[in-house]
Amino acid sequence: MSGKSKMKQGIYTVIFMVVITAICVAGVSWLHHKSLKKITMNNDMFAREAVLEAAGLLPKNRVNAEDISDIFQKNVIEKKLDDKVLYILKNGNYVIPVIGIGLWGKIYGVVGLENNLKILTGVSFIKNEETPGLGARITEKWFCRQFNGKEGPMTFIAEGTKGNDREFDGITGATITTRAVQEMVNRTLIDAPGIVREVNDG
Amino acid sequence: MDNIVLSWFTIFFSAIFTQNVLLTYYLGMCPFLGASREVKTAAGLGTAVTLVMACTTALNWLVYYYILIPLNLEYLRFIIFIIVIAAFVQIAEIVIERISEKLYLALGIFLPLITVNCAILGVCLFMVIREYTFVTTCFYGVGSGLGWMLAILAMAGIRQKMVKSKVPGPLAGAGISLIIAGIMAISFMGLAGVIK
Amino acid sequence: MGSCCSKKCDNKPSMNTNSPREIIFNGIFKNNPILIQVLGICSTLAVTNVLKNTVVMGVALIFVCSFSSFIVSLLRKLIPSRVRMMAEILIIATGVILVDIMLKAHIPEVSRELGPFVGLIITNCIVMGRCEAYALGNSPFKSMIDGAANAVGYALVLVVIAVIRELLGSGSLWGVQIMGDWWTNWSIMVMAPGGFFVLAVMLWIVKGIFKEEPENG
Repeated sequence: MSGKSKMKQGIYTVIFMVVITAICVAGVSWLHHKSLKKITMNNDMFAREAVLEAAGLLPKNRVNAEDISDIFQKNVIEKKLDDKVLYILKNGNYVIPVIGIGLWGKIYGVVGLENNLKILTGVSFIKNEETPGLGARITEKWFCRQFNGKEGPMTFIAEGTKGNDREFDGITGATITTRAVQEMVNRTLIDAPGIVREVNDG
Repeated sequence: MDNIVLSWFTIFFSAIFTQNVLLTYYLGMCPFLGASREVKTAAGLGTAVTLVMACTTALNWLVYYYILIPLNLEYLRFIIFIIVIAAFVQIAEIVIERISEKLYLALGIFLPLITVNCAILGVCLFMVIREYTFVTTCFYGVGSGLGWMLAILAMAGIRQKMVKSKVPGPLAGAGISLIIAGIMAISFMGLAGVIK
Repeated sequence: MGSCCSKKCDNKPSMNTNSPREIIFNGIFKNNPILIQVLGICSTLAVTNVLKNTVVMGVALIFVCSFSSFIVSLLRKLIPSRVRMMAEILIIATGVILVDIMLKAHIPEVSRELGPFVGLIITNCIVMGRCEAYALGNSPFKSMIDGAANAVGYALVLVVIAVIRELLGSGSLWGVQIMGDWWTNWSIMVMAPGGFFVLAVMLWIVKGIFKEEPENG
């Protein structure tokens, strides 16, 4: 190939890549912005569902989005201060969002506490990217229910071995994820008084 | 000051051993099984991967924190990271080809394979999720690459030795490599709690 | 063994004169992506410990593979040879992300389960492998069939592995408990090494049974 046509080929290559990149980026951006509202709505719904579960207010059978919104409106007040969020229940309990670092990414969960901020009412997870079949099992009901009515700090033990009231069953093969959950719960227990005071008074 | 330096080396060593990209996170398996028959090929591929990982994690860090975040475009990170990786690999291949024929034969021919390597994209995404600083990212990138190279060298070494063993016909090739990989993965699980 | 992933693919594939039925047969059986080409191992390991996720992944891959092969084939005369891998992966990534956004907006529960796999689908060697090996040199319609056939072949193998792994590792299938209390879960099956071993045994069996046939063909 002569020098000139090589350069032409090179320029065509660059232009092609720029054009196709622009088309792809534009396509993704457009769809992203078009769907943003719906996606935020869905995320809010997941968050509310988790808050209700941590508060022990989620009905046992499957409920749809309207019911969840309904129960949420009736029982929970959401208070924000900067980036801190606090959910205050009509019965005086609290639910505090917490973010932990798991194996693959962040784990977004909520921890429910009684009014005295010492006893857990429940734990629930909004979003996680843990290994399905292993770490992702933290969203299973049996795992979350372990924290109901317990007083912290909690430590995890091998799955299936019965422990005392400060211990909870970890998930076999998902040590890092389980450890992250333990850290999230214990950290919330420590931070709770400060968060409640800040958001309530602020 | 001491703590920061210590954390760099902790991340570096954990990237190689306890959080090995290939044996703990199971990323980058395709070339691992396909190209690991000889130690020489494995060394070349491993070095290429380390080079690409180190540079692209650093580049993507800069792109993410100086371009994507200021412009509120974090949701584009998959596409942008892939473009950066692919562009870097392409440019690196051209540059190496021009500079040294020898280097190109040892390293350059593997570069196109690496564009598809899920390990590279995975490492870049981890770097974002864990919110590493720039210097930490560099240590992490180099460490992950070396970890991948360690795994592939070990695999190649074992396979070279095994040429003399009597593996049942149908199990030879991919089959036995998978079993070796499985055993290596189990052994690396044992390292899980070593570095916190 | 291992076509695209073990050597540099510099040449465009030659025109393939197979009929659609032959393409389908090749994709699913004769040239099965996992068992014969040994591609797409990353996702195979990650996804097959839960049957439901495997099926979702399989369906997703059938869409992505046929769509990408189709588009790449449409553009095959325009893509410069030097940057074809970059262009392919860009098209694949865009397709996957568009689907992911659509799922997040309209079927959020499915998207939550598929979330971790988005990256795995994008870098899945099979999608890229078919674009390289077939779509670049053949018509869009045939490429689409080829992509779909390979994805179906891949999904079938995955389902077999998943049935074994979920049954032995969690005692259940599709979330429904099958094994009773007498069963102790083989936890190793839920973790990746279990995937390695099941796949190895499967390759052993398949190659053992079909080893003699190709010579007669």
